[in-house]
Amino acid sequence: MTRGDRPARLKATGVSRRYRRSGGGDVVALDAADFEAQGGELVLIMGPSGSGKSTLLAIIGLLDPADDGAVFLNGIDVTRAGEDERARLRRTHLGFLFQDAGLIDRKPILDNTALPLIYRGVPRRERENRAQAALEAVGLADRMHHAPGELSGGERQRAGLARAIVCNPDILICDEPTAALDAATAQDVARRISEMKERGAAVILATHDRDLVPLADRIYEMRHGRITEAGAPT
Amino acid sequence: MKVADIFREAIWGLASRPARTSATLIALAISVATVALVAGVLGGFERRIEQMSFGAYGRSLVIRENFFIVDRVGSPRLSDIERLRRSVPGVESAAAWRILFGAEVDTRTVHGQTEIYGVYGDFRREASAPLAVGRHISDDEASTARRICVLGDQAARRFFPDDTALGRTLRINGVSCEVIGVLGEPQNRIAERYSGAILTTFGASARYFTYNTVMAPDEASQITLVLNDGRHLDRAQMWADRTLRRRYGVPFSQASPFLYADPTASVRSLRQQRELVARLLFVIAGVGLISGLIGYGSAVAAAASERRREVALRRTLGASKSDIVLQFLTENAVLGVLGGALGGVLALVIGVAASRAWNWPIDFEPSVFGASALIGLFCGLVFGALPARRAASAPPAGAVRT
Repeated sequence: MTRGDRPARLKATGVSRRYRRSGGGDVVALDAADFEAQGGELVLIMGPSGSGKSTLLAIIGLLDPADDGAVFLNGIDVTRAGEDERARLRRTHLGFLFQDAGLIDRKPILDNTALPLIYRGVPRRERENRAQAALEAVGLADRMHHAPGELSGGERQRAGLARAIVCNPDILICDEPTAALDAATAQDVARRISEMKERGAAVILATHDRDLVPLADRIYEMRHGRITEAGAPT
Repeated sequence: MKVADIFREAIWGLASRPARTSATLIALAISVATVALVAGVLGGFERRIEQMSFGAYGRSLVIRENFFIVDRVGSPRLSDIERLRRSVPGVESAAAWRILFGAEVDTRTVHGQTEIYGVYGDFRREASAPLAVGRHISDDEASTARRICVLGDQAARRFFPDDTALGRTLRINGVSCEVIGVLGEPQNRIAERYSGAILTTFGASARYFTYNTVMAPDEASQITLVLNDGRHLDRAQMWADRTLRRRYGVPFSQASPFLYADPTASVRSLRQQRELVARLLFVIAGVGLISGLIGYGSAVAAAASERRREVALRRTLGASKSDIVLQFLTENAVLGVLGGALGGVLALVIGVAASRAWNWPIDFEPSVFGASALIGLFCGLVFGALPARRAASAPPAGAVRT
C-alpha cells in the first residue's frame, strides 16, 4: 500500500520483457523494472529511443504480458490475467493516447471517439452523446464529422485524447503524445492531458520532451531497459 | 459487443474499402455464376433433349395386354381409362390406341401398306406434330365411327404425290376414309412414327382391321397415361396394376394381366450419356469455382493483413479476440451472400443473353438464387475464418510500437 491505505492505481514490481532475436538469442527490452502511479498523479517515463519506455507502457497498459515480475491494478494482481480478461480490464480502466493519435483512417472523428464505448456495450445514442461531449472538451466540436486525414496534427492528437478520455478511465497512458507537434500545439495537448489528473486519473506519459517535466508529479528515467532514476522532479 | 454493432462495424469495414470490396465481390460472383450457369444450361439441355427425343412419351405409362399368360383377360378397355385416371396419381392426360400394322391403302393412283392408328382421348400430346393443313380429329369424333382420317406428312406425300391430300378419299383394307387433315413436321423422335401413318377415329378403326373379330369394340391395343413427372413412373405402374387387377379380379399371386411398357428405358441410356457430360461440365465449373475462391481467399487474407494496425488499435481499446473474429466473419458472410446473390443474377443475365443469341436452353429454378447466396455465405465463412483468426491474433501492443 502507498499513500496511506490507498492502493496504487497501477503498480509494477520487477517486470521484465525479453524478445527473441531472429538470428537466435534474446534481447532484454525491460529488466526488472519497478513502477507505480497513483490516482491524480502525472508520471513521466523519460529516456532515449530504445530505452524500454514503450515496452514498459505496453506491460503496465496490459497490452503485453511480462516475462517476470508482477502488475497490480487498483491493488489486484493482474499479472496472470488471460487475453480476454486483459481486454476487459483495458476497456474498463484504461485510456490510451499514441504518438500518431492512433485514429482509424476512414472513420469520422466522432466514430473514432465513440469506438471504445462500442466494446463496453454502450447504446448507440449514448455513445454519440458521450463522444460529442469528449470532443467538445478538447475543442473539436466543429470537426466531429471530419475524417482524421482532414485534421491537422494537433487536432488529430486532441481527437486521440478525446477517445482516450471518453470512458473516463482511471488510468491514462500516453506514448510520446507531443513528439510530432510544434511547441505551441504540444503545450496545448500537454495542458489538456494534465487536466485528466485533476479528475483523479493516474496519467502516465512516455516522452522525450523535457518541457513536460514541470507538469510531472513523478519521473522515471530509463536507459537500456532499466529504470535508472525514479522520484519527484527537482 | 452488441450484434447490431458487430454488423455495423462489418458494413463499415466493407464500405470503407470500396475498391477492394468490389474486386473481391466480383471474383466471388464470377465463381458462383459459373456454377449456376452450368446448372441452368444443363437443366435446360436436359429438358430440351428429352422433349426433342420423346416428348410426352418419355413420361408415359403404356399399358398393353399380357400375351404371355394363359388366363388372359383381353386388351385394356376404354372404360379402364376413367378408372385409371381416378386411381393413379399425377396423370396429366390419357389416350387409347388401336394399332394396325401393314394395312392396305389405296388411292386412285397409289397402292401401299402402312400403319393405322385408331385414336381416343388426348392422343395429340403423344402425336406431337402440328397440323400442316386441315384439322385434327376432335374428342367427340374420336369415339364415333366416322370414317375420317389425318395423314402423317410422309404418308400424305406418298399416297397423294401430285396433289393435296386434304378432302380426298382413300381406302384402307377396302373401306373408304376421308382425309380431314395432314400433320406437319414431327416435333420429336417418337412423333416420327406417325409421319408415315394414318390416324383415324377409334370407333371407325375396327372397320379397317382385318382381325377386328379379335378385339371388342371398346378394346384398345394400348392405353397411355401421360404423367406430370416422368420420375414417378414406377409408382404410377404400381397403382395402375393394383387398379386393373381389382377391376379384372386378378389376385397378386398371379401374373399381371397387363404389360406395362417402360418408355424411359431408352431415355435412361440417353440420360446416362448426358450425366457424363454434366459431370464433365461440373468438374470444369468446379475448377473455375476453386480458382476463383483461391483468389477470393487471397484477397480476404490480404485485406485482413492490411488491417493489422486497425485491429491492434481496436484491441487496445478493449475489443476481445472474439469481437474481432466476429467482425471479420460478419464482413465475409455479408460479402459472401452479396457475392453469391450477384453471381446468381449474373448467371441469369448471361443465360438469358446466351439463350437469345445462341438459343441456349436455360432452365433456372428460383432456388438457384437461394443456393447461390448459400454457396457465397459458405465460401465467405470458410475462406474468412482463417484471416479472421489471424487478424484477431494481432498483438495489441503493436498499436503502441509504431
